[in-house]
Amino acid sequence: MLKDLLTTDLVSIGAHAEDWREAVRVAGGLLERAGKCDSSYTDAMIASVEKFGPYMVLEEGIAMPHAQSDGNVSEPGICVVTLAEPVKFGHEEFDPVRVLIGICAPDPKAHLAALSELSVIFECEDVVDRLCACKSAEEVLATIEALL
Amino acid sequence: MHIITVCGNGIGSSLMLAGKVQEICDQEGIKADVESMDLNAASSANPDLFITVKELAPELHGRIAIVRSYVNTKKIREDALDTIKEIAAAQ
Repeated sequence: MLKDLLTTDLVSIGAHAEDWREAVRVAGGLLERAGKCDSSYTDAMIASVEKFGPYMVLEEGIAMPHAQSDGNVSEPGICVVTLAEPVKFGHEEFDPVRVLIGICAPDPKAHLAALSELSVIFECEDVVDRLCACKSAEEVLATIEALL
Repeated sequence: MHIITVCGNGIGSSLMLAGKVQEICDQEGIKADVESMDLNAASSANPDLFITVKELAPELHGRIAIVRSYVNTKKIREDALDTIKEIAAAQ
């Protein structure tokens, strides 16, 4: 479940990123440091946006970078990044992005339950404002938990 | 009916969309088998209906419903339900 996957070490508040690639690297870095994946997975998330376009920007201001695992993901992971300055992914409707929710899974079915919880979060209209207002990782976890 | 939801990787966005579409079909009493797929696998699949976003639609062959969102139930319902109903009625 989402609650079990998302811990304070997987949250970054007010991160600085020059562009969308750096923003995805911040998310990937959190997953890497928590031992969820290695750096080639972060590269794959970036490559996936380059290949398929910015469809991972799922709603206004919020993106969910992810990629297919290629033996480079050791366990399911979810991270949350709020940005100090928004970045553009090139999405026609939902740019600029202020919040990233990065996900990884060794097997797509492994995070089914957590994903359906995430989809509830994406449906909350002011989730971006609420997450960006958080001053600590603990506050982010509490905000997300309150939405579930 | 067989519905395939599609995104680039088949593990994140399309999986969430598949959940929403299944929910909508269940609510409407439409029997549907909904699965998610990555674009590559989907390009050679042959379901009754693909559901995806407009950026990925040109790569697919067959009946396609284009949605504005992978996660917003209201938008998905507005964008795809008429097509789903139409196909269900023809079966």
